[in-house]
Parts: sequence; structure tokens; C-alpha cells
Amino acid sequence: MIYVVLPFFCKGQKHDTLQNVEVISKKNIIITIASTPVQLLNTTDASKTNSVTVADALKHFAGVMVKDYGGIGGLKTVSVRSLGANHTGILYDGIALGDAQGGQIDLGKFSLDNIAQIELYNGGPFEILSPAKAFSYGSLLMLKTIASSKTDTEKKIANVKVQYGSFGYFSPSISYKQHVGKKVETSLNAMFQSAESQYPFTSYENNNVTQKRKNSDIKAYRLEYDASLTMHDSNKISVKTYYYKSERGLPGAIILYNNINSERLTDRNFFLQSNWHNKLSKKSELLVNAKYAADQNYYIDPSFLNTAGKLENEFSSKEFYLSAAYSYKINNFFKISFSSDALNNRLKRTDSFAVNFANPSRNSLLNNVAFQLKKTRFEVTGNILHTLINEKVSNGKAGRNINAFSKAFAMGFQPIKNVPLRVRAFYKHIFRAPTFNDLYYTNVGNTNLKPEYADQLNVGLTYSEQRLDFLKNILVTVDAFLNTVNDKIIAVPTINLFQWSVQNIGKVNAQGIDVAVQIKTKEWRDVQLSAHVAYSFQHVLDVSDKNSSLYKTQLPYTPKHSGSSTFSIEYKRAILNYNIIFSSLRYKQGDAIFVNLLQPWNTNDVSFSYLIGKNYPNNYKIIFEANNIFNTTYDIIQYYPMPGFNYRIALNILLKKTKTII
Amino acid sequence: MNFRKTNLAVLSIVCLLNACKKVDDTTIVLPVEITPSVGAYVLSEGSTNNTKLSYYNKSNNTVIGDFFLQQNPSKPAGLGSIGNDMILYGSKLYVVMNVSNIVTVLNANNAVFIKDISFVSGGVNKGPRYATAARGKVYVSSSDGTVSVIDTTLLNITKTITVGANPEGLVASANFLYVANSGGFNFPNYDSTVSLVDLNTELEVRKIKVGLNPYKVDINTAGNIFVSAYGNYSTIPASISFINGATNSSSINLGSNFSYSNIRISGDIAYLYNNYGGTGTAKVYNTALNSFIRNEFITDSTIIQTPYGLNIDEQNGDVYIADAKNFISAGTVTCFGNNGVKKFSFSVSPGVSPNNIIFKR
Repeated sequence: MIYVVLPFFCKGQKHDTLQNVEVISKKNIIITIASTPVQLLNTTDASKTNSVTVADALKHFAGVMVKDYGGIGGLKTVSVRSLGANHTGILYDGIALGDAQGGQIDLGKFSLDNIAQIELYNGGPFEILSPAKAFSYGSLLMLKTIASSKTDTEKKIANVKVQYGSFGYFSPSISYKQHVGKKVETSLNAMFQSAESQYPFTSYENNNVTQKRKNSDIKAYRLEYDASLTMHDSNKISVKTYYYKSERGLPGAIILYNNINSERLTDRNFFLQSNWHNKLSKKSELLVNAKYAADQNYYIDPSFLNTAGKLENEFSSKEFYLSAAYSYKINNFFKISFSSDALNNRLKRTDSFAVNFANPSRNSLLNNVAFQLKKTRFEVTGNILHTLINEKVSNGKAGRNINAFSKAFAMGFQPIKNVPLRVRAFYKHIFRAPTFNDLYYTNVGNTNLKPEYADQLNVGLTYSEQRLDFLKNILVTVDAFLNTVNDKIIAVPTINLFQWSVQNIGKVNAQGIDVAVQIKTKEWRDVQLSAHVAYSFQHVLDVSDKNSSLYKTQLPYTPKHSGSSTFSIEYKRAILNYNIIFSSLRYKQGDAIFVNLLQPWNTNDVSFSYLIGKNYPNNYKIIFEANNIFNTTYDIIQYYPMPGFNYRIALNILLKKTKTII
Repeated sequence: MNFRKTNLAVLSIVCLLNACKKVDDTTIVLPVEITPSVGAYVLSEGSTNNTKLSYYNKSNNTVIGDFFLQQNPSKPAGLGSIGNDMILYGSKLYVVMNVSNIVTVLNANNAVFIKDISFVSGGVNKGPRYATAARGKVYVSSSDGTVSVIDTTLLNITKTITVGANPEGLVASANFLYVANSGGFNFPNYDSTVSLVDLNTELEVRKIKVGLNPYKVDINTAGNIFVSAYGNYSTIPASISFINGATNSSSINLGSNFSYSNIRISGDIAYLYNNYGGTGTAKVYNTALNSFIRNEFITDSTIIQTPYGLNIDEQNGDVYIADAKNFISAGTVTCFGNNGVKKFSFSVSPGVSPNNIIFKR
């Protein structure tokens, strides 16, 4: 079937000219010289981590906590250094994903099949020529798709991947990229995913009994179309269209002595975005971004005990976004940039149960000034961001207007010439605006909310060596941080548990250390070893209320120790990987007492891949993944059991037709 | 939460202040000896799956926080999810597990597990809420608009009575069952009725209009009914309605001084709590004389952060108030004399959000 779709491919063409070595070293350079911590994972690395989604891959990053509610369709949000998921911004091919409604994007929706690179920045973006929005988050996750990555040599390239796995997991995907003439490149990506996800877990009532997760199925598909026009090397316009739809069961927490659940969720996400990057002169560059996004989510509880016999929630939101950024090189080592973003976000509740919903519309204007002073052994960057937010509602009272400055400064230097050790430090003061849910959620929302502030302080060391006897490279980063979150927005019950209210009452002090080590050996008799180890220590205290018994206790679901490691052996065309992820004990919400303790866990995964036709344009890769091989029983969130042992088999077919043939 | 006895005379024994009077010439008040309590069971609803039953031993002033686990090592997972109500009737404790959709029956003497009664019907959760007992049966309201009748010998549901939308609290008089229909799931179109159920036929006789979104129901010595209602949590305040138990025709809203969502009556004395739009722990009201005894029950400096359950030891008039605090950390129970002065208090850790206190005698 695949060959019918792609009849124009032929075998035995020119050798693959992709320079893996260069890619890796460039990546290491960014990690090493950046004044703020940066973690990168490219397709090759990600494929070693037994990951299906971006959320799975992020479990291998230092300082990242993935709240995973289990299963393919289970919610997966990411909190970096205990700032909370709302402080993580996600840029998809350079433009922020909308987050006005809930502020916590489910990273389980992003499968890795079309992701070329995952980049995580503590603080701000690496490039100061970035949209103002990119500076507006506590940490920044950049997802770069295959479509946006450079492939100069191939005239036509197609990648077909079929995955099949435990618990009814099936996911075919295809990417096709084509050059039209010398200037135009188009690409299409399609992914379908379905899973029953009725995985077994050990009963909470009785250790000797195995139960199955119910109502946890998902069907999802994604379509992406990209086109770009390159006028000349330094002037490129690209357009992306994205559509994602999923329909899933919400299995909810396991309820003791009861296993009935029938809630469903349907998501639709559409966006059209465009990006124009133009090097106007040797000194100045322009970056223009525009986006229109329309999202819809529909929730139904068909067994709700009201007269209608069901509960529905349907929200639709829209975003209009325009951004312009300009940078100017004053001299060889000093660069400034200015960026200005305008956004409009709207949310409407459209179900029959909607009563007097605010239907808010929010205008945001972000202006950012940044500078970068860069010498070989010394770098200072900084930015000041001004945010103006005002809001209108069709019912009730609108949320507060926001008019605030925030700032970040970072510096890095290499103390000793010829010693590849760098010292770095950064400070960032930023806030996240209350989301529409925080402000307007029926009966719970609070329009008096102020922004939630996060302050980050980081000092660190990076060491990168490329010329050791047996090692190809070694990269070590160690960072210590001190974060505080003030006016943290949390929902609390008021007079009783029927009545919750969202309030700015939280305060969090976080201290921690992130360590990451990457080692790769030189090839020896076709054998190459590599390892990636990440470790985080986090001492995160709830300092909200002196009179509460929770005062100065570790934040719920925050392990003190967590980490991951990936070990790989490559021999000719085969790669064997071993992954470990671990988390120390942590408490669920409540007093720091034994009954609220969640046990430490670790999972061990093995994967094996074999490439046929390594040196040819058309090649075939077969991947076997065995996940949680010791069948560890664990919850990341209590009563949301994680899958035990499971496997996946994937077949990846890469077909290329190079320019030289034409 | 209402641990009720049908013998009205028993209730009348608590003569606080001068409140204990014959208010109805046809009622003969007979003082009955009540055995002093030796301890108290406290139910803490908790959050998902962590309902706890604690036991307070009065003689040595000790608490066993997870008494259920201690007494039932074969059930390590505990009672289940969201224990909403508990009554002691005969020799058994009935614990209404709202989210687990079971009523768990325990031996009242030692909290040893006897049976789980399922509240799942046709694959749908009924959502059991509150329980009361009368004539040898236990009546449990469920959010699916019914009251289930439990045979206390068979420990089975023997009958299901259809009432109004999303019933909450209920109480029995000599001949009738009064069930508050909240309609809470039809937000914002709350119900505002009490279903009058004939205990002989176990059928709804009619609905009596009360305040919006009714919640708790209780009865005084004379057999008159008081219904507390939430209102709509914003523009329409909480309220208390009065139903004459002799006529059961209509209700009287007691007015703006009664903006409380919870009511607990012992004899003729009503404790109103969960004050809307004001401070204070509980208001003390004489239902027979229709007069307030105290605007604030507590007379010393004791502070209850979130009064979430209240019960009166009918033998000595002591008032036990459960404090849910922030609904996250361990709750406490404080015992006061009926003069509002604290006698003692105890933590129910690991119990969170305690909502009910039942006396063991």
C-alpha cells in the first residue's frame, strides 16, 4: 500500500549526506555556551528513549516533572523546576501554542513521529531575535517539526512509520516532503493513533488481584501541511496548517469498590501560521510571525444525575496573533532586538448547559527589548518585557487589566582559555496571567485574580570536551537554582466542597540542582557507546500560610530526587538502548504523613533497532521496544495507575529521491 | 448525618437552659435515661479514596485515627471514596460512601466490617448521600432521585422510593419521611422541595415547597421539621424553612436571620452552622420558643476554622464540632459544653474533612 502511494521512489541512489556528527556537535555547543540552561533532544536521541509522545521524551530532561495520568490518552503536563505547568510556554515551529483557556497544554497530544528536535530553555530563548511571547514564560519548550528542519539534498523524501503495540496501540504516520523548483518546499504529515489502552494494573483493594483500566481508549489523527518559499538564503517565508482531532475516554482516578466511568472528551485543534525571516542587511534581521488558531473541546458525562441525564461542556476558542521582531548588530559583539506581539484570545462556551458564561475576549500586547553582548569567552544577555492585557466579557465582570514589566538577565563566561569550562548565571522575573478558567469558570472563577509571579535564579557550570582519547565527546552541565512563586493561583474549597474558589494564595520556595551528563565514545571496531544521565534534586516548600500544617512541607507530587538515564550501544546497523527513569518518594496533597506517601518508583525500558540500507537513500528501520520490563507497579498521580510491561514494534521506511537524479 | 431515633421522647431528654418544654399538649414528654457515651466515631470524608473512620476513646482521651484499618486488616484499602454520612442504628454503623457508591455496614461495637451494599443500579452509579433510620429500616437518599430502603437484617435494598431531584438530607417522624430535594445537578435550576414520604406505604405523598436548594432536614421534640437550604451560593442566600409536622401542608421561611446551610437539632435546640455572608461557628436557636439563645455558640476563645459537622451528645448536651480546616490537612473535633466552653479537642489525622460524629455508648 505504501508503495502505491509513493510510486516515484526508486532505490540505489546517492549516499545519504546527512552529517550526524555536525548535528551533534552544534547541539552540544548550544548547550555549552548558553547562559541559561538548555536541553535538546533530536530525533536520533529521542528514538532511544522508548517514547511515543513529547511528554514521554521530556521525562529524560533534568528538572522536568511530567504529570502523567497514565495510558496513551492520559493527560500529560510538564512543570519545569516546580514552577507549575502554566509557566511552561510551548513554541511549535517558532510560534506559541495557545493556552488562554487552561494554560496547561497536554503534551500527550504531540507524538514524536514528526518532531525533529525538542528544546527546553530555562528562562528565555537562545536567540534574541524571537517573538516577544517567547520571552514571556518561566521556561520555554520548543518543538521543531521535520517540516521545519533543513533537508537540502533531497528532492523528494517520504517517511512512513507504522507502530503497533500492547493494549491495542496502533499508529501509522507518513511525512512527505518535496522541493518544487529551487525555491519552494512543501511537506505533508499525517498521523493516526488509536489505542484501547485497557492495560492491567494491580488492584488497590487487593494486591493479588489484577484489574483493567476502563474507558481509556483514544482515537486521534493529525494533519499538517507546510510550504515554504526561499527567495534567497536569508529571506524565507513559510506557512503551516495544522489540524488535530482526538476522541477519548476519561478513565478518571481509580475509585475503590467502583469501576464505572463513562466521561468522554473530544478535542479539535486547528491553526494556520506563517513565518517570514528576512536578513535585511548584514546588520539587521526581521522576523514576522502570524497565526490564527481555532480550538474546540467537548466533554460529556452521559451518566450525570440531572434531569437531562447528561452533562456537556463545549468550549471553543480562537486566537489571532501577529508578531514582528527586529534585530540589529551594532558591532561584532553587540546585538539588540526589539519585538512586538499582539494577540487576541476568545473563549466561548457553546453547550446547552452554559449559563451566563463570560465569553471573554482578551487583548494582549507584548513589547520586548533584548540585548546580547557576545565575545568568545564572555556573554551577557538581557531583556525587558512589557505586557499589557485587557479583557472584555459578555456577562458579568471582566478580569483585571494587566500592565507589567518583567525582566531577565543572563551571563556566561569561560574563566580559563582553552579549558572548555563555562560558568553561567541567570535571573528571570516573569508572571503568568490568570487563565480564562481561573477567571471565569462557572462558580469557581475569580475575576479579582492577579498574575502569578515566578522568580528564577540560576548558577551553573558547563563542561564540554571533544578531544579525549577514547571519547568522542563529553558534556556535563550542573545548575543550581532558587525559584519562588508568589501569588500562586490555586483553587481552594471555601465554605464546603461544593464551593471552590480560585485565589492568589499560594507561595512556593524551590531550591534545586539539575545535573546532566552526555558521553559518547569513539567508534571502536564498529562499536560506539553513548550515555545520557540526568538527575534533579528539588527541595520545594509550600510557604503559603504560616498557620497551616502544610507550611514548609514539600510540595505535593514533587520528588526530592528524580532522574533518568539512557545507555546505547551501536554496532554497525543495530542500536540497543536501555532506559531508566526514577523518582523518589513524594507526598500527594495533604499532610506530610505516611498515608499520603507515594512510593518511589523506577521503570526500565529496552529498545532495539536495526537499519536496513544504512548507506542508501531508501532505508528501512525496524524498532522493538519493551517498556517497563520489570512490570513495576507505580502511580505518578495517585490512583492513576501507570501501565506495567508493554511492548511496541515499529517499522520505519525512509524513501528519498535526490536532486541530482533530475 | 442524622442519627435519628423515632422515639421523640428520647430526644427530649436534653434540656438545655429552659428550652425543654411541652410545646404541644398532645405530646407527653417522658425523660428516658441515656447511657453516657464512652467514645465517638468520627467520619472524615477525605478526598479520592481516603475516607477514614476514627475512634475517640473518652476514658483515656486517645484517638485511633484510622480505626477502620486497625479493626479490618483484611481491607487495607480502607472504606473507599467520600464517606458522606454515617448513622448508628441498632447494633450497626451504616457508612454512606458517596463516590464508591456503596453503603458499608459495620459492627457498631467494634467497627468490624459486615457488608458492602452496592448503590449501582443498571450499570449506573446512584450516588448515595445521606441516611436515616425508622421502624427497623435504614433509608438512604441517592442523587439519582431515590430513597433506598435497607432491610437491617438482610442488609439488602428491599425497595426504592422515587422522590425529587438529587435528594440530600432526610429525617423520619413517627409517620413520615422528609427528604430534601436539592436539584443540585440541575444547576442553576435548583429544586426547592421536600418530599413527604408515608412510612406505611413507602411512597411519596406530596412535595412541600421550601427554600432554594434544600440540604439538611431535622426534627424537634414536637415533631416539627426544619429544612436548611443552600440558596444559589450567590444572589439567593441560604435559608431555613419550617414545616408543621402535624399538618405537613406548607413551609414557612424563617427569614434573613437564618442564612445557614446546615442545621442539627437536639430536642428543641437547633444549631445552625456554615454561616453565609458572615462569621461565626454556629448559632443556637430554640425551635419551640422561636427565639435565639446565642448568636455565637462558642463563648470562649476557641476558633473553628471550617465547621463541617456538628453533633450533640444527647446524654449531657455536649456539642462536638468537626473542623475541616482547609479540606487538605488533618481535621479536628472539638467538644464543648452546651455553654459554649471548650472541654477538649482531638485531631482525627489522617482523617481529612471530618463531617460526622457518632457517639458510642
